Amino acid sequence: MTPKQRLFERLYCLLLRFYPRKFRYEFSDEMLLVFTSSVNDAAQYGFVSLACTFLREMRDLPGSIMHQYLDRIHDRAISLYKQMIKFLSWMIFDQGRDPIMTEKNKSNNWNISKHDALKAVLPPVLFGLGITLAPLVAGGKWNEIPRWRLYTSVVVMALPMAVIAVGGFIALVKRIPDWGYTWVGVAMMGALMLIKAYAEELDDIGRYIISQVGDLVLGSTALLGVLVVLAWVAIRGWQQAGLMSMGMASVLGLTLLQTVSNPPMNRQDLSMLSLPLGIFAGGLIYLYATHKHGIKALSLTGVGIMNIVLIWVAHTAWLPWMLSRDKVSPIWPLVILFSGALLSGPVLGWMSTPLRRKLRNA
Amino acid sequence: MKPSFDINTNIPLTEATLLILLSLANEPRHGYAIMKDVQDLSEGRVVLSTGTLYGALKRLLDQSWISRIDSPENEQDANGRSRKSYILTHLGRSILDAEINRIQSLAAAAQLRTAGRQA
Repeated sequence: MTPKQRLFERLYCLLLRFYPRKFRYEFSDEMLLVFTSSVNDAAQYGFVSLACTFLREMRDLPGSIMHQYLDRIHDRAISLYKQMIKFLSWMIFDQGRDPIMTEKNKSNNWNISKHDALKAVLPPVLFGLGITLAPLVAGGKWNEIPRWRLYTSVVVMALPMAVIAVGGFIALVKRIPDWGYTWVGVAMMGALMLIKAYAEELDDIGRYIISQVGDLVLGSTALLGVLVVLAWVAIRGWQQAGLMSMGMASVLGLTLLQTVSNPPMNRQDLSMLSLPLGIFAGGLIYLYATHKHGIKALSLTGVGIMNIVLIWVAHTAWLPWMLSRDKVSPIWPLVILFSGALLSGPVLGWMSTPLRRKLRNA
Repeated sequence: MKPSFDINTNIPLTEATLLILLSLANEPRHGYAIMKDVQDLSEGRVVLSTGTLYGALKRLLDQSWISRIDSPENEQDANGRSRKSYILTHLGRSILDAEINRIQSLAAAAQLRTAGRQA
């Protein structure tokens, strides 16, 4: 081997270090061997041939190195993508305690056990109970009763809500088992309503309890949370998302009865309807969860009709007050909002069918 | 890289890949022998550099079209290191056969068409 050949070999050996480590470990010895053979062969035909061989190698080497790095990035991206899909699939379909969930999801008809359905019924019932009990305990207009009665009524109303919040949290931690859709729906929509209600309240010196910025941040976060969880459930299927929507829509409707029991309407009589209507919504949820498509559609329609009736009831209760202040009753925006909340689950579930198939096949 | 076992999705092959697979069609070869054989097969038109050759070999290994074996003892290098040779796998051979069939069909169709024009 001439000094020139040795120099070329050393230079090539140095350049091989620029390859990714894994590639270098696997191929660099062989590559050096092949390079040496090429150079030795070319040297037999003189310096020009040797130089041409060396230049050809040098010309192709940067591209080859770059290609290996791009391949490595591509492989890592693919690996990351697969891990992400696997994680999403685990989050969405594999509910841990229920290994047959994935199989169950594959059938067109999704029903849950009667035991789970009974658990799913509880959130709107509890929500209605809280709204009904509060004015009963208060026993009069909230601005006319002693403070201790007011606080007691607030606590009585807050207790069922706290149970719903804890249930919703447990359902989320358990990656929303069959019984958990309504709990999560009611808890998250309830939290959103609570934030919006408090954002309207003034403290003793006339300032808002929650500042406008706070209202914006908290409200947006809660709304985003609702949307994320709804999307998560929707990927499981329109029927599951429909159950969550029924919980959300029930809360919206029942909240109206709580609203009209407050000053200036003071219609505590109407808030008494909350418990029976909560039970009615719970009954519809039970039917939805345990029956086939036709009954599911009827149950959804039932909650929709209940909400329209509640909007009308609330409208009649606050209309005189609104008219006295030249305000317009938001009856149509409420109809759109409530119907949107009710239909959002099934529609999102239907729209996410391609994604669901992709995740199941992952 | 996950190997794709659907032959039709893997063809047509690039010229370099086809030549490397052709080079391994009859017997296992080590890197330098593949490089020389590719040059011969293409009548000097395709001259692979070492980097290009090993980039292609790595891809073919990842796709399970070829596999690597130790060369016989008489093919050791000056330092006594055993050279690695490459051999077509069953999948690689199937893909090569499919590509050859494709090229033959294409050539036959082209011959038929040009023969008709000449007549």
